[in-house]
Amino acid sequence: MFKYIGKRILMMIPVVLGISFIIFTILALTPGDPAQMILGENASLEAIEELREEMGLNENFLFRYVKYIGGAVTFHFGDSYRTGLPVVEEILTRLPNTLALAFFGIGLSVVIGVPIGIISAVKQYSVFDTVSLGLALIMTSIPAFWLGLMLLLLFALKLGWFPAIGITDWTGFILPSVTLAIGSMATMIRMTRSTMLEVIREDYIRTARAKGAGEGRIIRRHELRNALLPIITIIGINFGLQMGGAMICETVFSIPGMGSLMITSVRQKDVPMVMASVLFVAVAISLINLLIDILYAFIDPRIKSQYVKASR
Amino acid sequence: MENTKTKEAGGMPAPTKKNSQLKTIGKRYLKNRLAVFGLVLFLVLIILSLGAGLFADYEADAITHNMQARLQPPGADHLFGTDRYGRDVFARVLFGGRISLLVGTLTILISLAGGSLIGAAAGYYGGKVDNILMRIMDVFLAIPSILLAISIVAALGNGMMNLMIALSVSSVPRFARIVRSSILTVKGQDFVEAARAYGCRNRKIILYHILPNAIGPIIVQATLSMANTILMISSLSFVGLGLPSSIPEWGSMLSEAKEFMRYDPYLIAFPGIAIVLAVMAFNLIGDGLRDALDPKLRN
Repeated sequence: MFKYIGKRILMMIPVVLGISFIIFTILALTPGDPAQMILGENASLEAIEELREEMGLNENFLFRYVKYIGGAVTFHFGDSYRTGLPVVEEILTRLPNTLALAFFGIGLSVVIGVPIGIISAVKQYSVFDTVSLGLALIMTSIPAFWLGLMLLLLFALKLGWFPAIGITDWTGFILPSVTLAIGSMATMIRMTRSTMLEVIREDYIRTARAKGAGEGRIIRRHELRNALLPIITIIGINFGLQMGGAMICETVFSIPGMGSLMITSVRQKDVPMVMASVLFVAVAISLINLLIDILYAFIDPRIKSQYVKASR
Repeated sequence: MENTKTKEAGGMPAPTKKNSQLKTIGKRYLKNRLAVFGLVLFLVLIILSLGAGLFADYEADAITHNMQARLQPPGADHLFGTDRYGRDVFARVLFGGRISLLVGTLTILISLAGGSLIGAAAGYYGGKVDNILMRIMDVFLAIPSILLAISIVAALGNGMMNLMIALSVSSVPRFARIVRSSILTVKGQDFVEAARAYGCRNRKIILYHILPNAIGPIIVQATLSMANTILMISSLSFVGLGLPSSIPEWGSMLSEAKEFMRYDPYLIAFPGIAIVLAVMAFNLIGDGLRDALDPKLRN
């Protein structure tokens, strides 16, 4: 088991390195001189040249990248061009908000979407099935930020049930989480339904029924357990999308998270901040996917047995 | 050439096979009520946005500020009302459709070309080429498209061209994967061997013999990507990283309307509904095509 987990962690390293290299390369294309930006329009040429030297901007590109990664390993991601403070500080105060939003969104969509998908599959072609598929269709087509605006308008501005701005307490999380959940609920319903439909047609289900197992037991013990793996895969894929959605939704609900940070940093050409933000979010997503891979090993006896045999 | 190609493709006897196959696919598509609804939606979208000039004047209604007529609710004069600068929302929604469709189509074409090239090379040559190209694609796939787009916009700045580059880069890997896997399934078949035996060049084999046989999944992916791209265009414009706000675009209209939504909710209603309908049209068509092309569902 440890071998499997270790292998997954090792496989993460090249992916994270690759991501950092791509983003670093893209951001290196940014026009304009950072030294000039920090010192302002009126700075003398000597001062700019001095700062360039100090910041290592005169080094070649690959050397700068290696240096950046070297710093990143020891948790130094450079200073913001805007505030002059280490970028990590600001990111660490904001990342939890975005992560919390994504988690609540995913959690809610699983709790509601999976049961709906199961019922849809079990009662295929029923009214319930048609209605839930129709809803899923509409839900995939609604942009999260627009849904957020509509919910904000109805529940915060017109009815006054929730705060319209920021997250002073937990009630501030409700509307944004519901907004995010609705987007991923559609995939959840569709995927649960289609995997359940496949599982239902398997021979072992007929066997279970033939030996006289009750309908509830068949659904819980035989069908759902086999459909679990694809459902978990979807949760993993959706998490990345959710982070992206959360970052856009933050602007609607004025939540201080990674999205608003990145957007202001992009506007002000604060390259170190953008670079580190992208990296943090990407690593967070990879870590979640790692967790899901590990979860596989516990759920799927086929993976488990592979490694148990190997270690014997 | 056309006929021999199809004969090889399906391994079917009659040269008319292609026609009848298209016909059955078309028939199956038309049987699917939701897919037909998507097609109708798509046609309406095309007519309204390409024919936007028939319903409104771009300069006068959608661009020029007219402060006397600002924030008027929907009515006979202005079907969807007017915005903070007195511009007609109906006109802006229609011309916004034109922008979304244009940017979306170009993005898909660019990423389709790039993805086909990479996927075809990887699938056809196999081995080392395949390994290197696909690992690079995997890394790109591991970056959420919104992050990739934000970084590219950060480096290149706002604007239509940069937005298209940003969105294409993030959807190239998806096309590359699909083209590669289609090529792998076709590659080993006899007609490719035959083409090689009579001395076809690699490039010709890929272009004329392999790609046409992989067209189905590619079209499905292109349609579904179109839905996704329209969503991304409006999301990025909404947060101010897409198109400049002077251009009528659904996302930037919503972003401008945000502060007025309490008393003028119509300002956020119409552009949003337009996005939903456009995205839904492409989703429905994509799903419908996938079902129609799926041999497993053939009855």
